[in-house]
Amino acid sequence: MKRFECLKALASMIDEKTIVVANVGPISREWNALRPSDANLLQVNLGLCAAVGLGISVSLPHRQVVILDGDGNLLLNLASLADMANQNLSRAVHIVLDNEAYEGGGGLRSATAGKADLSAIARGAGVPESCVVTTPEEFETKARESLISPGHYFMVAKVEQGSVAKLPILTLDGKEAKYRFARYIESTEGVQILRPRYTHI
Amino acid sequence: MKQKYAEIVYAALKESGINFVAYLPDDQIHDAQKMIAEDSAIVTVAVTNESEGVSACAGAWLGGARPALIIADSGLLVATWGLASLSVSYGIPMLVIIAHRGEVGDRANWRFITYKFTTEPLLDTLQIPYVRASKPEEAREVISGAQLSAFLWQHPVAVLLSGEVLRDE
Repeated sequence: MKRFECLKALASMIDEKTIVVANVGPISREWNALRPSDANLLQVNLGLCAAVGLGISVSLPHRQVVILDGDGNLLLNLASLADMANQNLSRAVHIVLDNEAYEGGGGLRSATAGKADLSAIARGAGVPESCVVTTPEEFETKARESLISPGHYFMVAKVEQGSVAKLPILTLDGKEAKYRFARYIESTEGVQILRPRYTHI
Repeated sequence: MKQKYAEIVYAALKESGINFVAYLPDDQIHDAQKMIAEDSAIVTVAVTNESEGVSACAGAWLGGARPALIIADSGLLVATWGLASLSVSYGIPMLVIIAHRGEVGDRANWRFITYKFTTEPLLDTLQIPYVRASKPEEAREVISGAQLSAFLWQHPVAVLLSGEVLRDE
């Protein structure tokens, strides 16, 4: 199964207000090509994106949050799974595009190429809905189910290594990504994030 | 930490508008953490890894909350990855409250001299401004000032609680 095909199917299912947090590496580049939006927070560094999604989800429980994770990325901070489970997230879909490798780091094998089973780990951590999908049809069915129903879903999609040619280059650095995402949340939620009160000019 | 000092820390966080707290339990600041966790007006995330706590605070801020991370000085070492890679590099503000047994005369055993050596140099290296509150009467102003600066600067700012603030007797 190709990662790009999974992401393409996902992009066709979500609405424009779905918040997407993705980890650094080819996942972010592919997602940006398929669904460029200020509702995306892309390229979050290794081990951190699940917990960023957790923070967003508990702050905005009425918003659909999709976390696009990698196997190596999640393996760095498996503790996130336990803490996410304990928050009873209302609209969170956590998808691991598991290529069993550190593709962005050169392609050497990750622990899921060996014995680690992230779906079992998530279940053991208390995530209520956890599954593994290996075909595009299964991916589409499970993704659709998890987006329709409230709750916290975890899905491991077993994908091949390799991306697609001529993806647009990601041009945002962290600060610009922050400003654009925060301004998007301000405009859609009517909250003030970036304009704290100034004590003087 | 005496209960009355825990109450000062808790009240200072409330007055500062903190409405999201990620914490990893620490015996030196446990009483304040407990008051926060029991306050239904504050969203709390009990984390099992301090770097994850940084990430949760970053997400919370992006979602419109005012976050604080409450950890031990030992946990600051674990938090450095998230602080450097997310909070500092993106410019995502958060108040970082650190229980720091780093003063001569603190009741801290051999284990804690390590964090005497690591805490302030790490904050300097990460370019995270910090301010210390050793006396209970300083705590309120220090916490509210650090919170204000964090959110005006859009940068993490740390408060080192130490000395009398942390003492049990």
